[in-house]
Amino acid sequence: MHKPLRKRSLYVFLCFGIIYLRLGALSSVVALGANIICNKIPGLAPRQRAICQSRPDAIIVVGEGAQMGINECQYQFRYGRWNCSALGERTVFGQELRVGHREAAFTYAITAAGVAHAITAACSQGNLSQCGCDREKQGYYNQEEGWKWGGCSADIKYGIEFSRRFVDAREIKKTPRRLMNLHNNEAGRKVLEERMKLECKCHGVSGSCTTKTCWTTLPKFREIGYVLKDKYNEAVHVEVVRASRLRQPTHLKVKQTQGYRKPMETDLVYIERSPNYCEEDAATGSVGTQGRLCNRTSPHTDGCDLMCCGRGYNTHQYTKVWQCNCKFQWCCFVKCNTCSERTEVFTCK
Amino acid sequence: MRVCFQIITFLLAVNFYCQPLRAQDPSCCHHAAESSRCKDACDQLTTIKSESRLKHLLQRLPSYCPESMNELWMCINSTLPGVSRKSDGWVGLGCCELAISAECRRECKQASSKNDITKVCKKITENSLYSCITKNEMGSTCCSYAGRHTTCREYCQAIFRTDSTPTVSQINAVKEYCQSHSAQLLSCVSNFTKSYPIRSPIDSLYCCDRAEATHCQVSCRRILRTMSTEHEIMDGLINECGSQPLPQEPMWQCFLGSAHPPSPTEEETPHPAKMDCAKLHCCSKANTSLCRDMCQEISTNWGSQTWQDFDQLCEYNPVETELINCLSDVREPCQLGCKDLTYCTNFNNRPTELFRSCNVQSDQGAMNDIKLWSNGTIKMPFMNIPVLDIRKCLPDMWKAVACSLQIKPCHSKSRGSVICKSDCVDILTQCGDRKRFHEGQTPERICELLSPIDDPERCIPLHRYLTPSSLGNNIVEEVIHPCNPNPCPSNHLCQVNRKGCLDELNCQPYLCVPGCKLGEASEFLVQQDSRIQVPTRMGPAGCFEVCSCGPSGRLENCAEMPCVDTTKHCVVGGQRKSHGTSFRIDCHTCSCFAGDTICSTRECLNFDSSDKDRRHFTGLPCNCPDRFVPVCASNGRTYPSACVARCKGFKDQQFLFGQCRLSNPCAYKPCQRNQRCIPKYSVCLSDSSDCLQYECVGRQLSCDKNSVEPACDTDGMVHPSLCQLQQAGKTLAYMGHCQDTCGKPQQVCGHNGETYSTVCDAFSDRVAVDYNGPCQAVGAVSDVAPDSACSLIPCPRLSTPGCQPVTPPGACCPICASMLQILWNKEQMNTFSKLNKNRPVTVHGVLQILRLHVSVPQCDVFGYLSIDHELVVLIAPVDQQPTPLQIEACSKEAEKIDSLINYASPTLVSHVPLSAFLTSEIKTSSIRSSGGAPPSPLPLGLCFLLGLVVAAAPGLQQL
Repeated sequence: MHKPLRKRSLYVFLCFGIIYLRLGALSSVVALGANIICNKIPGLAPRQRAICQSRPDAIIVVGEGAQMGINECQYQFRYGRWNCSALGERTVFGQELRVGHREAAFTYAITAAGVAHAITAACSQGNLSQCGCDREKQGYYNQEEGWKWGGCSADIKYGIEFSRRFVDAREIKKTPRRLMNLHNNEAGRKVLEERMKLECKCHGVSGSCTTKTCWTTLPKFREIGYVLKDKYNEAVHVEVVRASRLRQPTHLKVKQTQGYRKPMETDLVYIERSPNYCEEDAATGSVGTQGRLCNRTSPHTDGCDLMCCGRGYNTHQYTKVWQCNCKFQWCCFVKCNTCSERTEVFTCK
Repeated sequence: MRVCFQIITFLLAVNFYCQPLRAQDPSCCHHAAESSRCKDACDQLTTIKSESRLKHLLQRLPSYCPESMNELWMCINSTLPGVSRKSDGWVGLGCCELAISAECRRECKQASSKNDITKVCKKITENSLYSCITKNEMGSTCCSYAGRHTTCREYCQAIFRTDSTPTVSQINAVKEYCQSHSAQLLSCVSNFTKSYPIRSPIDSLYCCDRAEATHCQVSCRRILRTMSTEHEIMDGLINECGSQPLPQEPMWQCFLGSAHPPSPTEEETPHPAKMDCAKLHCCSKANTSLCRDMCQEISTNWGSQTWQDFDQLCEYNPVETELINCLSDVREPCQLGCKDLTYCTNFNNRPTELFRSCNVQSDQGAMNDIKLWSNGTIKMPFMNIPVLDIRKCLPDMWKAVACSLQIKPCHSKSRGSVICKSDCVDILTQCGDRKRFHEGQTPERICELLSPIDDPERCIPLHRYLTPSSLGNNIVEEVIHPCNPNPCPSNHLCQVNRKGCLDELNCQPYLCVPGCKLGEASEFLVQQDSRIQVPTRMGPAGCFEVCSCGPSGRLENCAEMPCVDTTKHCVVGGQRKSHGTSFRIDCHTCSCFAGDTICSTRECLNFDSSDKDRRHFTGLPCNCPDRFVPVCASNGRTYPSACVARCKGFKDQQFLFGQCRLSNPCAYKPCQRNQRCIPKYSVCLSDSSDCLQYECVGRQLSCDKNSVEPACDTDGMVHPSLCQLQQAGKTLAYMGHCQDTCGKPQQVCGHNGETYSTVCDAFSDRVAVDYNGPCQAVGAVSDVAPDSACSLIPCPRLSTPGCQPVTPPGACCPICASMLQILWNKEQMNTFSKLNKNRPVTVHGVLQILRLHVSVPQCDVFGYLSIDHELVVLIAPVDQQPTPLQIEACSKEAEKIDSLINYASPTLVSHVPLSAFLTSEIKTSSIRSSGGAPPSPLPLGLCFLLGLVVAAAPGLQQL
């Protein structure tokens, strides 16, 4: 009488146990687990997806970093024919540039730098669980020069390592493009690392700075944007050397008639020449300049003759209306006047 | 026909194993070297990623490469895994990209089954790879139920692709196409794709508010409320909000942020980066809300921008002196003594004055400052002061100014470090360059901004530093400061060595112990295993948590304390007092603590007490008669009579007759069978738990050899630690090295009314000696009481003739020491005890922590709980016959601690039992002759003049 009952109750418990275990795979509080969201994020390589699933807090920071990179790209190129606008579907890392030209080099470099910057900043804030202040920069005291490490130095090594692991995981296929992308990613990160700032606080009133406490901080991202823009202007045209047995691309060399020189680590490299971006062309990834705003009087690339590629421009006159002379009235509201002005705006045909 | 069959085979192969195609070895294409068109097409096979293009290419391939190219087709046949021989291919090939290490990836691509990779790829580190392989294997078994060329199989494969989780449409498609084929496949697939209902998606409704478009917000809420499975919610959100999830978008960030990651392998306790808890303590002292907010900003978020703003707005603001003094306490605490300076030599040899920063760097800094100022302008942070050539105009005064600004002498009572206003006006009037002054700049106006204080209690007089120290240039060894300058490496705390060492030859006067920083960005260190009170990061001002300093060098195990409402005021005699202020009512000292007025419980005589009252006044609580019949109360303290004990609130069953130290707490065998009971007398300040007077010690196998705390047993032998003494089975006589003077038992009476068998016993209990012989009487507790039975007792001579002694309350005889009477908060002590696993807070423990704040080895801390339940702390010189300098040093230490308590400085208040101190009163004993040397020429001159007059007097008389 007891034995069959015991057996049955054992099975029942086993059954419940299995069901409970399978149900227990759900997260307890939240509606959507990290797994399912990470699976749906577009544009992630398998290893990136794995990192997303194991560190969802880091992926938020990565997204912000990539967005910062894209914003900086759009700021730096706002007056050019190619203005870093998104093409088609938005992904984590912006548009997918199929052709390996200068603009692609800049985009890859700035997003890698953006991710490293954001991760380092999040570490210093204490937002990420596995990193914090730079441990190496604590405690050392230099007697002759009178400074010592103190405070919280930004842990740039962690940020760069994370960016390397995450952003470089996108490059899977062994193609020339892969080498170019990896080089540009690393160039962006190197530029960030070189530009880390040393800040010091003097102890003591009036003038002399005999003892200082110093720490390293991140530069402003705008500065990185300017530096990378300069490097974009001086980007190096490279070609791929296939040196392995299977004739697969192994490294890059500068495209010159003779000689053999490797590009510098902080140079941006590209393997194909850029189109002129005047007309829309899906093969090269150009959006064209139809409809772009241009400045009639400017002699630079945002002038209407250069921007519109000689097609001419449309003038659109309108009355600009805005709030002006705003004053605060006691107690609780602000009263503004409305000013208006007749202006014209030019768009390319 | 054959071509058709081959094409279809290719198509199926592509469908089944689209990913592994990327890994195809392109060397097959060299078979097609003759035909360049064929070769190009073959090369393209490797670069194509999308399935549809691959399909198209394969359809066209036979037109480029005719079937007669047998080697080529055979090569492609064999390298496309699993084309004809299904068993050769391996489902896991598509997962190889997930491998983290490069060797594993290579191994995976060349493997043909899961067993091949187990050697190189460890299951623990390659989680994603193995889960993908399992998934693919499940997929191949499930889909094998369908026939090979059916759409059913196609859709089945689609579900098991590595990348995404199956959508509802895919699941429905499988159901539709496979219903007729096999029920087994359906059940197998549904096992895999079963979408479990989510528990409470409503908890994440707040994430919907973060979406940018309103229609997205609305539909998000609707979806979370109505749908129940993960797939449905995801599909719904993607459809309604128009795009795939992106981690830049706030709504998805919110969802990701609340998603718990699977438990990481090593969990590191999150430490607050950029935090400085010591400075956070100070922020509540700000007077303006602007400076309070900026103070909180710099304490929680380290950055130079905030420092600059804070410097500009708050550092030199005279309203915020309390805040600034507190912050400078944390950065550079006031320390006794200054020596070995090469430039500011007038500051040398001042062992009894307090300085914040007496070190080589400040010395150099002063020299550099003088050089800079010789250019003609003094650059202050917010103004420039033009001056004449300082090398010619009062150079000594300028040197004193520069040195004071760098070395920062501290006033012992107020701890302020500003120069006096009159000195400032003086020097600027004489040496300021009037011609280059700005509009309206006068020396008075400038000094109003720089040093507005003229109170001799709060500012530093410069004339003291115009001449070298009166102690002369001899190296003073009576008073030493082993921890100033700090000889320890960083992250180590310097403590005065009071335990002695076992190796007498190499004994240093200091010890370097590892410490913890209060926050990553802090410089303030506390000892290991100490308990620290820090303000909580979020939360109102009065909320703290108690953490302990762990061996990792960080604060851990934090427990929150109940919050204290610091905004509540106390109403006293019609006046409002804010939290933290102290005041006197009659003869009591009182303090306001979160709306409660806590006062001492002394007996007072006021103006309108009658004569009869005055005659009968004894000063003891409840006016008890001053008989001496000691009782031992449950808090471990001996009261002089049952009347006093009852008056202090002890019920009859809570005290026993006889002194506490003469009772035997082990009489009732309170310990277990295998433990020894050892008496351990202590007086408890908290009453939330029992005050046990014994300790149960088990038979330990080993003692900690590293901790050195010498203990002397009753046989006169010294043991390296108390543990080893107990292991040897001896009885403890007293802690510390065995002294010859304590060899024979000679009873002495301590200030706390207990009789000790030797002087050393009293000292190891941190109690100073009142008189020799057993305790016989209770002394005056208040100042106005008449002489009691103490008059019969012979008091020992004062240790230094000429000192003004103090008589501690309840003691009979005066002593040359400085005394602090500290009022403390019982509720807080009880809270601390509860947070510390109900271990009581003892007087001995508090005194040990206070000892760490005395930086001079020649002074030591003694104390006891007075009859009025105030904590009396004596800072007395250690030597039997102390010199006047040592007594002065001890009074300065006492003044320093007194001001730290009264101003609630974080250096003191961070340590846990000490934060319950409310206020303290000090009485110092100084030498009757004046401290500083009076200028010797003066009396000599007077003498001379007097002599002259006396000599001339007879002459005068004649006139």
